Amino acid sequence: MVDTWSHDIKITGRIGGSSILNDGHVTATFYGQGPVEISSRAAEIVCSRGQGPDELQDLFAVCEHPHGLAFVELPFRIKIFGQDNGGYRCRQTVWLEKSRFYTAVSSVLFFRGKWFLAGYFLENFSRKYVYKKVFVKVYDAEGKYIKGLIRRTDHEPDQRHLMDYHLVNGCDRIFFLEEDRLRVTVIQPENLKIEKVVDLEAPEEYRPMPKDFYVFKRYDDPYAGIGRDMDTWRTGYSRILCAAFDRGTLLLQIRVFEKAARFMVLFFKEGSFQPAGRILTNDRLLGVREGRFYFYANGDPRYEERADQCRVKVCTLEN
Amino acid sequence: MKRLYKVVAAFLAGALVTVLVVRLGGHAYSDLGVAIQNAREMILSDLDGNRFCFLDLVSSGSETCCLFFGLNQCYSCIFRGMEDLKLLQQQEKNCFAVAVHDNTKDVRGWLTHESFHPVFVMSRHAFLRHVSCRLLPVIVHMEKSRVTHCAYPAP
Repeated sequence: MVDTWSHDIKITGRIGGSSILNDGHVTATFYGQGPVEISSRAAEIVCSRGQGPDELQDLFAVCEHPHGLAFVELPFRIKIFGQDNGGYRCRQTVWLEKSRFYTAVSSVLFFRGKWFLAGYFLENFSRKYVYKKVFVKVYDAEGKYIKGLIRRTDHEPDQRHLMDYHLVNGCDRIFFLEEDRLRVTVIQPENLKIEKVVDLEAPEEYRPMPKDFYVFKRYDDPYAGIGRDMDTWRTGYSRILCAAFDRGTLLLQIRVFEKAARFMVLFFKEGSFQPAGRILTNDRLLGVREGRFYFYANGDPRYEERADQCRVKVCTLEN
Repeated sequence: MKRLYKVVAAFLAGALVTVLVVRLGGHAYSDLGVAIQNAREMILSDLDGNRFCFLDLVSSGSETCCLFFGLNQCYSCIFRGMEDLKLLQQQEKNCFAVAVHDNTKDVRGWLTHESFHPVFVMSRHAFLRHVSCRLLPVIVHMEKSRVTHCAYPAP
């Protein structure tokens, strides 16, 4: 353990996404509370909720941008916030080319002048039960649509828009992961082609989700029913909670059901994606940068007890 | 028997009063879940900031169709609503859309890749004050300043 940052701010929402910034600060989004920047000095809410110029109406995903922080506010709108006099102000808005079908953004990455969005993008559907989907969309810096990657066609409606999708900056590659399976798709960011798809080795403790979980269901009470299902999946199975890349290693955090710990961090070597180690922990991984691991103490504030106090642990690994 | 006549007469009188209030009053109601109240006080602005009264945009002769939508709502539904309005425009009906949003600049940005016009802006506060409906987006059909029916566009 290198450091522990404790702050008097009460956190109750689920951790959405998180990233480690260039200056070593952590940005994490908590559902219901918005984006929070946490450093050794303070934990501050980056912007409040609203329709004002320096506010966010909704929040789907966040990533680092050369001019500050980029927030996907609406499915087709990215707001870039920069720091002015200590506070964050909106400096630029990028409007993405719209698609007429359903769009749910889960993760965003700005990489070499292009926006990579991961999520659930319905491309077309017909009344004959043909659902064409794409899971990664690429836009240029001005928001013009370039290409869709990782396509799938299904013949029954599903609820995969409720899933989390992860995009990881792997220096000269981009890794795409879906929360429900240990499979990595390697994307070449220059020519926008899929290099390979690798099934990662699952540890013995891995508890896969039921295959029919994301099949479309009709609930008697839609809000309560779907919320209960989501909570069951998030706490009952080994979904991928966090994905990061550091020093030639892909790191994934999954939930496990051991007496010793609630989470497991898996290490995979770049290239071959062979397992390179694992650690058990009770803390939720927020990200990794230059050998430093940033954990949110005691797990996810929504699901774990004693996790409502904002405490970030900064650790390094020996060996 | 006399008592029954009295009850029936009272019922008819009540119905007559209700009809007169709805017809001659300052607001129009729809049975389909949309109500526009005090339409004379409803102020919209175009994308350049010019202000208009809602009733001035509603044609006095032919049918008027108006799509109310919010920027963060289901885009597939908004898209379908705008396509429906385009078809109605081809039938030479008076059609326009109203974005319920506080910032005109945002609406201008949102409309970057849209081909439908005209689009006006209405603040959220004004919308909540004057319009009641189940959900957005909604297409409201009006004749002579009166709501005749509404439709909730679906993808």
